[in-house]
Amino acid sequence: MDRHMIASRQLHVAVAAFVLASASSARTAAAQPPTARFDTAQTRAYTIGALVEASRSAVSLVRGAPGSAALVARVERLLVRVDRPDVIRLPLDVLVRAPFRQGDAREASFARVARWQRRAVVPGLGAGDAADLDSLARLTVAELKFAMEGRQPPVSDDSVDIILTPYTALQRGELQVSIATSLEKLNRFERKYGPEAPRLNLAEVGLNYVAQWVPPFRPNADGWPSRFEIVASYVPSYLTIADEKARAVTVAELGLRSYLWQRGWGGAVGGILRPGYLSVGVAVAGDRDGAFVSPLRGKARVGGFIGWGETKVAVIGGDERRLLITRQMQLLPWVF
Amino acid sequence: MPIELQTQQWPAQTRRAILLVHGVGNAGPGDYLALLADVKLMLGDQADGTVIYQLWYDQVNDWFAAKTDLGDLLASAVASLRSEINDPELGEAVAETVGDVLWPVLVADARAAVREVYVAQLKQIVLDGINAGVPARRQKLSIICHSLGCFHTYEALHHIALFPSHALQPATHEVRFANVIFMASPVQLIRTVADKLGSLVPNRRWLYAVQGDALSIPFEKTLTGMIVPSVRRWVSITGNLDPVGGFFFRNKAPWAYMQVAGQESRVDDQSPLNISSKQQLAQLLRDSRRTLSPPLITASNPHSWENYVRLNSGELRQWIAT
Repeated sequence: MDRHMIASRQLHVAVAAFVLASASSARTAAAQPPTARFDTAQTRAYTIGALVEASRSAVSLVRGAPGSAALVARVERLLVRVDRPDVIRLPLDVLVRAPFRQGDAREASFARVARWQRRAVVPGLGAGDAADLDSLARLTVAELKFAMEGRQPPVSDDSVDIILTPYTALQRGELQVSIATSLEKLNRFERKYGPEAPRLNLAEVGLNYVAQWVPPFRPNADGWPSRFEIVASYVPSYLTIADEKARAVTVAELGLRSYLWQRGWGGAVGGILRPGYLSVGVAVAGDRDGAFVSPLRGKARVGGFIGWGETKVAVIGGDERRLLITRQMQLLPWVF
Repeated sequence: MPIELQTQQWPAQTRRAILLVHGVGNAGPGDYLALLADVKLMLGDQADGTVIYQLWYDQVNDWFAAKTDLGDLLASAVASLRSEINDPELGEAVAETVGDVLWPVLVADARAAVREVYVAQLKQIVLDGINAGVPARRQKLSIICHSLGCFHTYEALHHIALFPSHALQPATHEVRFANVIFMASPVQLIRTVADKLGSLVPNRRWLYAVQGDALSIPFEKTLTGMIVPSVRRWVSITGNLDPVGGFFFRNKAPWAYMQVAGQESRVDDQSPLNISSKQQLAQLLRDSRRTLSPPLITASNPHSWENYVRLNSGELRQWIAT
């Protein structure tokens, strides 16, 4: 048993003894412990064992209270299952970053259903441990807390706070991780919609508006933006070399833009090598080169384009094959 | 520029925090100083023991305004509203005014992004409290929101009650708001218009204002089936001349007025504003609108946030500071 576990057991014994002693005086107002302030410096030392001990303390205070038998039995069953050396020695951080606490595993992923992903949901925890700890946390912080406050005599606020300190530490860690997650979501929204994102023309606005009804294009349940966007543009600024001369070529593009979320990519920070998005699709040009030549003119030359950030390359086939290059830009707002 | 959350150190012995959420407007840090002063005045000697946060989300709105063009869709929403109001004198002006608060309904990404800013700020507030030694269960959190801010509040509160990933659920994470005070809330109005727009509203599944048989206070159901509401006191304050809050020249429109089971309701008598005719009100609403800019709400406008705070300062202080 390591020193953190010993410390948490000592805390449990001290708190339970104090609370029981104060409860026996029948007046909670006179039963305040010396301090109930939450000490953030202590929280790094907590293990899952501290959670187990906190729940055990809470159970010991409500055992025997009217109407609590089923709750106590349920918590004790959970305690029996998780109070194992290989579980309680793990740091709280394991739970803070657990996907089941973060909502990602509310529904099993396809990879897990298909058995491609066989490793444990939470590293270090066996099958069922993560769910048991989640249930233990929920029961302790909600039902056991209400039971402590509702018993006669009630457990004082400060005593409740001391008992549940490990759970407050867990929540503090979860909030820190969750804030970072929110900011990452907002970074992605900014990459897709912010000042450095590619501008859309009216056709693209309409298409992408309609695409909000199509699951791959809309934000998911937890608010992560889709990485995809429809490209439908008229680009009169492609350049090519033909007959040893530079020429403009007008191309109609229809395809998909995919945003790249990696940190350090996109905008001025990422530069040309690490852009914020890539695009791919079909490119269509008319039967002759030139700026502002209708892509529908004569026999169409059809090919494809690929974009690496603002740099786009296209190949069009037909009688007059061309290798084209351009830069993503919008010359006339909402038009092209 | 990345979003920056407001973080503050809670003074010793402080357990109370307020989040102010503004409505339509290009607001940023340093704005709404008059409102902030009014809120501090309302709190009186309790102001020192209260940490006041303000939510700034217009930077996010700007991202979407620059990339999307909702002109036609907003026009259809406004037309739908005009027919619902069915008042030849007020209909046009009111519909256009209210149209300003409808646009987030039409862009799923915009809704999700503003909601995320909101939720992130709430997480930061709770974390600031915990860091100051006040666990979530002892924090006395209040939200005062106005106009479009009420819609974002409604959406954010429902979202955090549903998703454990934000660590803000009322039972599991013990985040229960002591007071949420909606001033001139357009939530019911948005629900009605969204219903009329039907399938034009994208990603309806995650638009909480249109879910269920009626608007509701969010809650979490615990493992043993106990219902724990997110909000202890849910208040709606509006004025009898404020169309955004569901009143069309002293007439309450049930399709536009936010009525939530369990809500405390107050309707301010706005007679002191000396608006004696529908034409005068319509002109006032028209004058507040600006081309390509958010409306300018002056003190003579029945939609003024500052007026709501001043007029209800006694009750606000009682709810928040006691």
